[in-house]
Amino acid sequence: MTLHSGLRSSAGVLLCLLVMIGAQAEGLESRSELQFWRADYLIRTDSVVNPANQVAHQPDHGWSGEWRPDLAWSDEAWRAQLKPRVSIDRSAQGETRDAWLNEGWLRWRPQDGVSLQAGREALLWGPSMFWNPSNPFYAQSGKANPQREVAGKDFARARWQLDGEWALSAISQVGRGHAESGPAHVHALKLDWTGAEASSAMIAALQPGETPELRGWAQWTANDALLVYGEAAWLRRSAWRIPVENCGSTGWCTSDGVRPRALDAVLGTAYTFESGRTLNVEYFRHGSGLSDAEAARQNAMAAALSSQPFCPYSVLVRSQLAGFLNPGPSPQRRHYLALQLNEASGKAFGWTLRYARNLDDQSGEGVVQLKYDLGDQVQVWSNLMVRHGTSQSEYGRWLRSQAMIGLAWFMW
Amino acid sequence: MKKLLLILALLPIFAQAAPDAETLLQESDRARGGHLPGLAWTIDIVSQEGGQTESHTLFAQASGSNTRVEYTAPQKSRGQIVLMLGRNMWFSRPGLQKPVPISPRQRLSGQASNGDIAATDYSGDYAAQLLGEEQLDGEACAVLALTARAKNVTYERLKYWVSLNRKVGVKAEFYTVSGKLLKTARFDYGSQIQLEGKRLPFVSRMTIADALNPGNVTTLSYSGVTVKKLNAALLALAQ
Repeated sequence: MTLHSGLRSSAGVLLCLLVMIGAQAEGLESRSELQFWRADYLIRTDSVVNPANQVAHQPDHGWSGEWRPDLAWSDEAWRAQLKPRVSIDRSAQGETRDAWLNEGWLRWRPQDGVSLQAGREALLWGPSMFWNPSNPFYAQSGKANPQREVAGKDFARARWQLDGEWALSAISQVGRGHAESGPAHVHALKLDWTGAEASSAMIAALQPGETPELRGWAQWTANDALLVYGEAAWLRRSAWRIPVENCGSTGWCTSDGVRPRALDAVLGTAYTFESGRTLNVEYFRHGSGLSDAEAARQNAMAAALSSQPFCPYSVLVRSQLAGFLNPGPSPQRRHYLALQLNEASGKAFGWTLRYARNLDDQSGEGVVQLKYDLGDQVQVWSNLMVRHGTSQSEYGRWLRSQAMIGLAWFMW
Repeated sequence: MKKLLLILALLPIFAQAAPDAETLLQESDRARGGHLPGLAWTIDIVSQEGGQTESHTLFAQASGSNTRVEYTAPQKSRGQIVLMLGRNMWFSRPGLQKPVPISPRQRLSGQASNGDIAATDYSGDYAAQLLGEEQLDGEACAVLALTARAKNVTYERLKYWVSLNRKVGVKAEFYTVSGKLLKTARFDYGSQIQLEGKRLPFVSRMTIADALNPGNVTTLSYSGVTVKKLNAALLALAQ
């Protein structure tokens, strides 16, 4: 164990003590859960971007544990929330211990309808189940792996409830917080509207050095069982690199790609059957994704790099291939279709089926999520994710499947 | 002239004999939380389905057509929130995800849907018509036919028994568009609230039975009812 991880472990123990003491304090709301899980991975052996697993170095299985206490304090005008986390991960690559503050914020309501808030939080919104183009701070909703929390980022924001229907928010992301990637600074103005059977939000966002973006979402409760919703973003395409042949020591290098404005939009619907099960169907037009020609060029570069007679692969080749392995939080291509069927009720046994398909390269990802309550405080759960597609497709390029089984203990 | 005076004198008697369906419905709403300035209460839900029993405790706060429900027990459900702003509804659970939109038909627990909790304003959601009078458990009741004013309410049609003496709804049958009976509900009024210096009856239990599987029964027990003005921010989507 390194000195750094030793310090983190000590911080974790201190955090445990503080939370346990805090949980007993008068006027404090608290809850706490302990999660343990094992994850098994099946890697594609003929992967172009991860040949012989020499780029991802993904172990075939791993164990994880995480303690998640939530603490909150509030009175008429103030509310404070703390969500410290302690984790341990073990795999063939070794053991990692960590302790961090995933969320911690303070909110002040100087008068009814006005609130000022600062601190770290996971600021998520939008009705879509799969993609969230309306959110300039988070590209993913965190629903793909519901056992992993979305990392908190550092925000300062003010909100004015203008009347019963309209609210205006000024939001400033001032740091990445616990998130590993993404922009450090984003500023946004958000106008929310809530009617009797529909609601929506318009967001104008600005990242320093970039052109302003327009985003938004809307949802409509069409009847007792049917919801119709959408999210959209009118933005400049994210920075991306064009593969260029016959240059650099590996034979390939990249140059900046053009970044025209593009429309990303999700259109979705949810229908609840009389049994209580709900089916969501979503179509995502990802205008800022790669075209067929651009994807083919990237695939050509990846194929050329992985076929080079380097064994083990050179650092530079690995680095270039890693760029294809983890291209970023957003989907890569332009057209997607997704389905979700789930049973959301208080029953002991619950399940969710999810499937997302890339309509450009016909690859896809299916997920089965199961949970079973063993009494009031313990739950067993499993997530099985299976991907299909060619070795040059988005979902099929390196990971074939992932199986997770876990135990949750809701301590208090 | 004497005849006219006699008719005028008898009018209130006729009016009492044939209660106005809309007025009766409006009066009965108040005992279930409708038309009150703000309300907070605890709901214990016990649902029995297929031989299995599930229990949940919720803390509900409502004002107008907006309701916020927070799960307080069991431990595994603590911190889950259902926010209902008119017919817009969202569900969130601690930490992991954003609030997701849900439909009024989605089940809160057992036979109880989100719409069952939110529907305190039958007179706003339904047009009432008097079908007649019936004795129910020895109590004279007006039988009302309720028809949805808009297509987005939880049930298309209701048959609703309102006590003529107590002015509270005591039984309801819920129907689909096609006329199929979905559920039946019985209401008890063991609680009281203080409003404008008066003590008024308030619902203490709602028992919902599935029409197809009468063994599937969900009981909602209401306690700790307080009438109070709520902070507007409490009943808004925080983000």
